[in-house]
Amino acid sequence: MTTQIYYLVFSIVGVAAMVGLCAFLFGREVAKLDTRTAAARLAYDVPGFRLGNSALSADTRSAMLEDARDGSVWLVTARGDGFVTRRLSRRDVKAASRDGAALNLRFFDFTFPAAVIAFHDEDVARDWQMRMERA
Amino acid sequence: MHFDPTQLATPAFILLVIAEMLFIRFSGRGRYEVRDMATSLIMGFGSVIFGTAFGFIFVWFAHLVMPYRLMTVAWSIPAVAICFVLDDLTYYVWHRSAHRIRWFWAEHVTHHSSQHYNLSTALRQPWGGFLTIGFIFKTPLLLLGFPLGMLALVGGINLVYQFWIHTEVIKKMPRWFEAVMNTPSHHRVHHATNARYLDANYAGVFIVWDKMFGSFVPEDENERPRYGIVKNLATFNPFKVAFHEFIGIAKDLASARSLREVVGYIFAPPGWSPDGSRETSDSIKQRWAQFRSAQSPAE
Repeated sequence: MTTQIYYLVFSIVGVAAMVGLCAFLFGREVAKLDTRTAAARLAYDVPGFRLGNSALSADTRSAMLEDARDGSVWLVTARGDGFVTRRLSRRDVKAASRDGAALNLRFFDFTFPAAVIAFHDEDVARDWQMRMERA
Repeated sequence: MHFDPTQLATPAFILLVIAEMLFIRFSGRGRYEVRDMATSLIMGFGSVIFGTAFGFIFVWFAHLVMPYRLMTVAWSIPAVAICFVLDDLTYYVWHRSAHRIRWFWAEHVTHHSSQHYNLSTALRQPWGGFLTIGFIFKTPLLLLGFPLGMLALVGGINLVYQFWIHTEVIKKMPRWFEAVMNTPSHHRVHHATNARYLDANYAGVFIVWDKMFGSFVPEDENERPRYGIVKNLATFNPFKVAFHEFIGIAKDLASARSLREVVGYIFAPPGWSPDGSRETSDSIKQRWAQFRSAQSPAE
């Protein structure tokens, strides 16, 4: 039993040390977006995706894009040094509200935390809220 | 005799991860991300805890099956070698099922949930094996009479082998090696979500199984693999990483309206839905092929 406790403690310390070393070597990189990167990322996830309208969040960590083929609305958002994409349809979005220039989104997918997409302009937020409702 | 290859190899795993991090830091060949790596290591650590806590289920199952074995295989080097090869074949069958049957995918998805591909990804192991009871794929070996200890030994060696192939640092091994063995190049394809690479290269140690059963896809130098899952997770929370697909199944079952839907949500390929509104790897590949042929009709 004592050996197992030592093994447990050694493992926890080992994991912490390796994560520390990773942080030291690579820092904590946060991915940033531009419209081209976001569209390219969506083209990977959605074969045939054709960029229509798009809007970048003020912190450049999220983008909302429209597929010109069918008017569907997509979110590309940074997670760590990578990106995650989701379709923003009624089937996917549990609740969407607007607070000035920010859109607050909650998803049915419980692995996707609630998101606040803040734009530079209130009109942009209003426009994308309407696009989402239509999609 | 207690000989656990995985436990013995752990110091080497740690040293190799450190060596790979240093190499990538100074060469730029590959990627590491702190939270992603932390999640992978916690998943690896947790899988040992869950494996220890629930390992008795496999032992109990083995003792149920073993009285019906055809013979008793004695310990010898040829017996271990044969057991290793056959165990790798059962691994192939389990692994293919784990990508084609949602119940087994619910466990295995954990291992694919990182968008990175480095040695720490190898340690991103599932916690839900006790739920899916994937060990039933070992039943033929138990019925052939291989002792439980021998299965544990060859299974451990198999797992240790698969560690080093989770890297972008090694491009290609010698041609003869690539022809027979699973390699970083073959396994990068397996972890990729590019439509052309989906559902390929299920091998553990010997890539020949994929070549025999038609699931082999070589890595194309012109199409770099993109790693992760079709619907990438937006969380690093280890509990969500470990159990999200099980919760997804439970939610779907709660909304099922017929026995067909119940069976489909559990046993159909991941992404199956009664109205076909969700994406499966087959539908993605089909759409990709259509898009590709529309782009270049002469091909």
